[in-house]
Amino acid sequence: MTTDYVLETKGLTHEYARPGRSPLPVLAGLDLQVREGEIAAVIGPSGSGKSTLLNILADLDKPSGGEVRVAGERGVAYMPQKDLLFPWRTIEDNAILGLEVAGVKKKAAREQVAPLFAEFGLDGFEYVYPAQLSGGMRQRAALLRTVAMNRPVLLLDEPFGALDSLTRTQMQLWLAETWQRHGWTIVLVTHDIREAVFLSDSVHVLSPRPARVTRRFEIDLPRPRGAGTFALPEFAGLERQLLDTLLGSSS
Amino acid sequence: MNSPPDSGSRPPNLTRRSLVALGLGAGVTVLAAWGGGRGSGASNTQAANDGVQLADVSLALDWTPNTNHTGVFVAQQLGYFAQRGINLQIVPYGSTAPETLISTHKADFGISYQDGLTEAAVAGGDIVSVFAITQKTDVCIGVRADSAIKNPAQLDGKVYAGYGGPMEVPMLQYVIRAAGGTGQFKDVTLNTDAYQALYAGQADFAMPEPTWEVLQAALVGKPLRTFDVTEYGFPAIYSAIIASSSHYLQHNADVAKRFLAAIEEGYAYAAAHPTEAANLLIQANQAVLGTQVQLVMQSAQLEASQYYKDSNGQIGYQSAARWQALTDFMFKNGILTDASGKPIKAAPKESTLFTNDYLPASVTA
Amino acid sequence: MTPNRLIRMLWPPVLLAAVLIVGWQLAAEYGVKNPQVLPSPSQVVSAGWGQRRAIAHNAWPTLRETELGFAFSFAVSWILATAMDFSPAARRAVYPLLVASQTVPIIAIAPLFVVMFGFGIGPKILLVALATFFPLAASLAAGFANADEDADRLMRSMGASRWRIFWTMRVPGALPFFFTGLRVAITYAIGGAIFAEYAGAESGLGIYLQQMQQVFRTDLVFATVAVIAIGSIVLFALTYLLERWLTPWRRHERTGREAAR
Repeated sequence: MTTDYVLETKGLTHEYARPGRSPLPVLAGLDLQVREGEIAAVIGPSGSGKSTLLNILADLDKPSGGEVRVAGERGVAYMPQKDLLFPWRTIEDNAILGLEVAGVKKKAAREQVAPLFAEFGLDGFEYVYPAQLSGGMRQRAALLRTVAMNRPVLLLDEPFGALDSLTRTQMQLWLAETWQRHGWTIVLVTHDIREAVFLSDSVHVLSPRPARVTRRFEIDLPRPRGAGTFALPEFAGLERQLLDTLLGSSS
Repeated sequence: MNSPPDSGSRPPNLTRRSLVALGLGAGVTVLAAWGGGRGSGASNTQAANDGVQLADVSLALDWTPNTNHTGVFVAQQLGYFAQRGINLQIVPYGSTAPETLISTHKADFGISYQDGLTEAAVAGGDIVSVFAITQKTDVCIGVRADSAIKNPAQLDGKVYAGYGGPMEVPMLQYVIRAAGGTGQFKDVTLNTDAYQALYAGQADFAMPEPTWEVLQAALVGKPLRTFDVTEYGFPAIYSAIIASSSHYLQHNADVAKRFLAAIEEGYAYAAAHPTEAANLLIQANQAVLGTQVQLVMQSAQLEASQYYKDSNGQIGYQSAARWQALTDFMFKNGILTDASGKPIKAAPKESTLFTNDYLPASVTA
Repeated sequence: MTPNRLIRMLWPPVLLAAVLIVGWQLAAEYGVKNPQVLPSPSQVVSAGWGQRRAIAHNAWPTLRETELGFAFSFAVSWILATAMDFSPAARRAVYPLLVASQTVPIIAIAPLFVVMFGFGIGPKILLVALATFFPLAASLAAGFANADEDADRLMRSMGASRWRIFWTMRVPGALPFFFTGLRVAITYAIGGAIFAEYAGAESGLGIYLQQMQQVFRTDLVFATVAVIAIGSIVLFALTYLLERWLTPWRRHERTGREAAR
């Protein structure tokens, strides 16, 4: 394996045992390469094994075969689809959850996350409970919790899937802008073509089950991206290509 | 929505609060567990008898403290037990029968009654009567004083409010028939103040105690007319006795004798000084009997004059003939059943049911 | 809570209680006219006040049994519910027994406990525990089981151990369930102690009730019942305060939902 990639999978296979029947293959030789500081979108038809891939990347499941390599020892920071903010913890204490689990003392962890609040538009909301926040803010808080873990790769599972369309667009714009400043390495699992094109540097298209990466698109739209990006002719072109690939691969 | 609802300060630390709550709970628990030693329990102060080790003896009451227990409390208040090296623990009444407590050896002694002890012993209980508190039958048939019923024969077809004891119905039938009736009546189990039921019109007759309910009824202006069952030839009953178990008596014969000597002295005092004895009884049970002083006084007088002493003026003594008579009645009426609930085939020997062996020599002589 | 809200919350039960008491007084004075059957509230209060020392003397052992029995029940229910959360086998083994424990008629087994364990406080603690155990353990187990599967995955992805997940996520998440069970259990607790005393005790409100019945003091029976009822209400209120104190976030959940409408 080359060391250029922060996260890399090689020939990843996985199958689920089914009592009395042959095992169900879900991943069939999936190769994925994620460069340092890029947003890599993984997109595929529903039921294509995205959640299996997520579980393996987040180290919740061991693959049946193949390799996963993540730079450093710390693995990925996983942000599930639901915000999963604990209702009994304040936003601040939700944000430090990962650090606490990693053994950082509460006080130190709080100091560590404090500067992030302004960035995430949550300044002044440190001491409120999740029930007091709007959907978009909760999602930002969940992302803050993920970022605060300070791991080399962020693994986001349809982070804006549950939001209404206007809020989702606002969140996409905000993420593009914030990413510009931090340069996080992000694996973004999504089923939203627009989102994939707008946010990422590379898009990996999965085949129907058993999944592998059928095509890799490099998205070289200019950075920093903003509301104007949506209007670029290249944007529409890429969107179209991606759609064709997906439709082709699912038929 | 973009301005914080209450950005103020960091909310309370809930982990700390939970620990505080748990700590408080644990503290209260420790206090409760620890604080038990005082207040309850040790009601009788250990009269340090020149360093002599006192024998612990427990006595289970059959009811709320009342004048049947006067001698016990007198003996306790006047130190008769302590003089004989006994530390008495009086176990108040709960819904567990003293007969059960004695048979299972949870109590050394207990207050019982002749028919109840007989039933318990025949059913396999390890129980034996050692002392007769009342020599006279302390139960009668009662109707409202303003009732038209002037004779037990008139109870035919009437409603009886009972306690559900197995001897009640045969006993009433015996008396009614002896008075010339048929012995047919309706039996309802009330398990509450029977004379209340009479005045509430729910029943026509009941079996109150002459030394308690009958007196109380008169005190509150709802007097009863009573029929003495022995006048109709029903065998006399030891309505209050002190019972123990063979197990206890075998192993503690000496303590049992000392215990009964103190008891005998207590009842002798109660017979001779009813007012003083009643005051001692009330004093020992202020919370319960202090609310009914007049009733206790009247009852103490009545028991002192008619109940504690037998025809020879003796206290505690039990006659074999009397035990025989009631046991025969119970056996013939199929009241006695064995441990599995079947009627027994042969009449029990009365000598296994009671003994005078542990009474003081002055009584048995 | 503002004083105004407190008043708004309290006036309906207070008014209802007042109406019932006035009705009772009138019924006792002009209807039944027999204090041995139905003493009037004023008689009950004055008799109870007159015997306040006796009642207090008997209330102490009852409270003690309630406290110790409840503490025992609390500890055992946490241990068992935790075991049930960690091991499905333990869950299958314990749950039927738990349900069975709730169907045991206390009044029937109380005398057996006395015969087996004597008159001490031991059998009373056991009976109180038996009466209160099921709602506590069952609600706690339900609370643990209610934890979000995805939250579990999130914490595992962070590298949290099973215990860490238990303390950080499952326990706080189960608290609202636990308090529901606690409120049910606490109302059984004093009743359990009274029943236990009925079967035999040296002192206690259960014994005192029985004694007052046997010396024909219906007014003091009522006074004792009133003390028991007040005790239960106080304990019930305490669980509410405790819940507010330990789960402050739940208020926001409620107001949050209201605001969303």
